[in-house]
Amino acid sequence: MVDNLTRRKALFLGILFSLVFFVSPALASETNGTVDGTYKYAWGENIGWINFGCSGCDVEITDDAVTGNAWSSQFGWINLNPTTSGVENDGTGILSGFAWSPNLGWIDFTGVTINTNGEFLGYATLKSDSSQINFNCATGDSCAEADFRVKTDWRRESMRNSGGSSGSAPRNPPPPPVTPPVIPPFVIPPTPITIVDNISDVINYASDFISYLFGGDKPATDTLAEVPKIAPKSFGLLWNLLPVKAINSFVFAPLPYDIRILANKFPELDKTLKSVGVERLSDLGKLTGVSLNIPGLANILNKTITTVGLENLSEIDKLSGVSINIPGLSNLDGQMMNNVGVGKIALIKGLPIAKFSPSAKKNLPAEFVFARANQELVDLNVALSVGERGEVSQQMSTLPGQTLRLVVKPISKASSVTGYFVFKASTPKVSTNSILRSSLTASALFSMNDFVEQAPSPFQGKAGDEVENKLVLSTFEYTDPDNDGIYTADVVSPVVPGEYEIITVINYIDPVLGTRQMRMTTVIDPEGYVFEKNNGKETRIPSAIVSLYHLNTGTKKYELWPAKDYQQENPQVTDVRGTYSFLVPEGSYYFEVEAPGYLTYRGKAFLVAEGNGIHQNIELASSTKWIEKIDFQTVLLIVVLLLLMYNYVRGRARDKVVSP
Amino acid sequence: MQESKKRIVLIAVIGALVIGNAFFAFNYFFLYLDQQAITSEKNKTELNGQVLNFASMFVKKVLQADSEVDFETRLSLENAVRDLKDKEIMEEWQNFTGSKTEAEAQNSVKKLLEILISKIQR
Repeated sequence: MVDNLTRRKALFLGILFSLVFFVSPALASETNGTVDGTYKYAWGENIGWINFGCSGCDVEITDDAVTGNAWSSQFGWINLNPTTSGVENDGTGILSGFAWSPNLGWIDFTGVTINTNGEFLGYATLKSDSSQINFNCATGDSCAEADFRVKTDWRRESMRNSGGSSGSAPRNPPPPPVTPPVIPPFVIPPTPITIVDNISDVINYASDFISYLFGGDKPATDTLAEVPKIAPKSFGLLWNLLPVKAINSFVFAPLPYDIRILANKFPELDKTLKSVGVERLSDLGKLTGVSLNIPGLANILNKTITTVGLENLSEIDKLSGVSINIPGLSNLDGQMMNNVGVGKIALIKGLPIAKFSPSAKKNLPAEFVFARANQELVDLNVALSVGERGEVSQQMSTLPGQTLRLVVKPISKASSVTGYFVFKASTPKVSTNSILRSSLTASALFSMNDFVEQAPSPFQGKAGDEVENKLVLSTFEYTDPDNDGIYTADVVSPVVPGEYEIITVINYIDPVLGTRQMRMTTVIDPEGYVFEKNNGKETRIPSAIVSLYHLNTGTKKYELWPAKDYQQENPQVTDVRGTYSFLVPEGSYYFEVEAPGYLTYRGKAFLVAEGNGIHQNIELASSTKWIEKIDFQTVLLIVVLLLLMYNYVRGRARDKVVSP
Repeated sequence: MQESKKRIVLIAVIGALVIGNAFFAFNYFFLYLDQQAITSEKNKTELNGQVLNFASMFVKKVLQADSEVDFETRLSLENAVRDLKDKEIMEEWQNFTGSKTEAEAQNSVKKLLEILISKIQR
């Protein structure tokens, strides 16, 4: 019984093996064959790859003919059985006859054979240019470079178990096409396959297999890059690929009107713009996000003095210490400045506009609003900035509640000069380090677009050009009491930090000049404050003593800044909000802050450019901060450690007592 | 007593193994997450690099060309654009190569440059 069962098993396995190993070749001997899924490409020396196994190709090989279509990505479909001809099979795998392509013409298949393994061999010939299509890399001994062939599961009759020859005689070739054939392009030979490619192929197949097992989609095979030998028109340098007119109109457009006017008024600005290569509209991008500082009144006065020439000042030493009032060369008390002498000219600071010499007043740029603070002791820094959209705006920053003296010089006699303080936005754009126009760094920065951080446009959200459309906080009149043609007005900056705009409207007597407007964005920076951090939250520290030290260029040492000369106090004691504020001229400064219960803070030195408010927020560290860091977990840990140590010591002591 | 000790040791060993497994599983999981993030970043960087390469090649070899673009260069460009595997770029590239008029070519160039710039991921 058992033997019988074993025999049956052996019989079953034998049948199974027979099916596996012998039925497959029998299936490959079908009379109607199709093209293999892997080996389906032929290579045309002038037309590139031809796919005989594409979806939609439906190529069928019978004992009589080869039917269906082949696909060339460059020249489209090739019909293997056109109505007037067709590729024929004599039943033994010898092909003949013609295929037809609308773009290539007739293709002669004489010379192509199918061997006993179902592989196509030999060449077909394009009648139009006599170029050849290779069906098997083995034919041209090029399998080392590219492994390609067309393979079918059709087998000649002698290789099949049954059946007979049913081939038909080839028909006569059709007449050549009337229309001239299209010039076939040249296609690069396939890239040689290396060992690495083979390994990667193996890996690809393995991953395909795994994805197949798990139901994944087989990745689509990449199509081959085919490039026509004759360059398309777009590569032929026949056309301008970029619209020249639009580029010219952009590149050669002049700078915006606002910048040109300012450059005319301020030669330094003009020089800076030229030196950094900002001469046309297309260069304006270099300025985006960068603030150019426009010279203040003191700078203009200094320029006037330096133009006098050093030789005219050679005798000036004799005047040292003599009480004399020379605008620009003497200080407010009428004393000659110490640092004025042969070969050196002092930078004039804090000279009231009324004391400017007539030539200095004459040199004052017209239709530009200057701002000074602290009884004209500090020239507020007015910066020129270019927005993302190329808009130009003037901007200055100051501290809340400061009395500002605004100075403007009309170009002709004016009937009235009116100013408007207008609210723009509640969130002020805190002024950061602006770059001095004379700075070399500026030149380097301007030449590199990518290094310049883009500033949000100051004109965004602008309702219109009319003053009436804005939220006007106050209106004020400029006056000219001494009739020198320079109008001044004193205004108090708003207490609330934010972004404002000072609009100055000049009504000229001359009807031709009419009414002119000047706009200046004014940022009221929040005051600086002193604070400490508790669990990530800031707590303001009142009654802290904030001392400001400045670098004395004469002694080259830091000294307590003489705030009284600028109508301010130094040191300052912070109020209940922990705030302080200094409005200082340009220079190098640092802070020192002391408060009971806190460690003394000494900040790093920083530079202030041409009259700015200082609004640093200073964090103080508590002198007992290490105690705060001890939480209950730390205490618990310490207790556990102590207990362990105690236990260890007790244990050792007990051992000593017990041991003899 | 001996049996009890054995059991305790066994429990300890199994416990240690379980904890070790859990530890390594967590470690593996977080490393896997890290690796995913790095792979994604790498892919992004590679794609950006490819887009930039193609854009740079296009500008240098085509827009700044002072003679007809030769076969080898066109082949390199074709391969570069195919390597991007981006349908939108490919379509616009084909529009450009198949341009019949100057206006068409200019339009395609503008669109192609715009697409290339927009494809660069931040």
